[in-house]
Amino acid sequence: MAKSEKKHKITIQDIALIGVMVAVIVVCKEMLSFVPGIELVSFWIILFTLFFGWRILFVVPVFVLIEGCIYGMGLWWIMYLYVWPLLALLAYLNRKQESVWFWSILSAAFGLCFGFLCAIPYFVIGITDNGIRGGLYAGFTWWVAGIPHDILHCIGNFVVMLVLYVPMRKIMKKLRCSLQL
Amino acid sequence: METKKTNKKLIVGIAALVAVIAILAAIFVIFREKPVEGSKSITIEVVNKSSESENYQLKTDAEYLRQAMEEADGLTFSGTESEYGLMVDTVNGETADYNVDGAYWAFYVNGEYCMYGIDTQPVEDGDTFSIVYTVGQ
Repeated sequence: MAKSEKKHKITIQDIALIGVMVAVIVVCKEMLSFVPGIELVSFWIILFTLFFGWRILFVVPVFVLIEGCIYGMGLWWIMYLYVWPLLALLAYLNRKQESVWFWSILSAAFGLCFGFLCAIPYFVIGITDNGIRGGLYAGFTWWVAGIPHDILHCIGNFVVMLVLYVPMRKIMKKLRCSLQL
Repeated sequence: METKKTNKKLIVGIAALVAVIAILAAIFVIFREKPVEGSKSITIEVVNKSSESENYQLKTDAEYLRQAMEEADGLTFSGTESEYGLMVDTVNGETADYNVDGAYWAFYVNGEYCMYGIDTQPVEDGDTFSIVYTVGQ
């Protein structure tokens, strides 16, 4: 019973860990923001979900909020509200997987779909302005324009996961043991 | 046996990814927004020393006036290159020599004196440019 209660209580260690995870994501994102197609946000969200479980429920919203505070809460911010949680959900649903290839392919597929997912708000805006046809046109045009970037994003995510997953998994396992999580 | 199965899944996964990339690339090539040829419609008017006017109407994608002038059929011009771009001294074979009588070619956009050289003067749809032989006072 005591164990069960402890399980649902957020400790100071959890809060600190969540803060560090958010900081890692934000810093990596800003450092690589000038390189087209290369980002570590997907990598960290997947890894943090796999190794720190439920804490990602706090990490992603705080990260999205910080990004909104830095760049302003425009239309792109609406996309962040569902795109990153979706990735965390996919990682959680496949948490039993340990293959580096599996995660590389999943991360790459996410990069490839990023533009498509982000086109949804344009689709909705188009619908409100010009009906279904207008929505499809607006969303499709926006998505097509970003396809080269999506392909770069896909390749970038694949390579990042392929290179970093195995060494980071070892570090994360050690970290989890030392934190007694 | 297990390894073989895993390898098969891996190959299928990568092949699927490559196939989707190829499909997306094809979609991009087919449906991307292509620049419309001659998307800006502009007029260039040349007023020579005798106040005779000649108009050139063209459709262009040029961003700056120099390129648009180069595209105008029948319009010729030359000058000297400077750090501000080309300083035009001759238009349609007629030279304005400031050192002789203070003459120069004045450039106007929609009736307003151009604030930029021809290399940096932006071109917008519907613009009318005037190149006027002018004698300084």
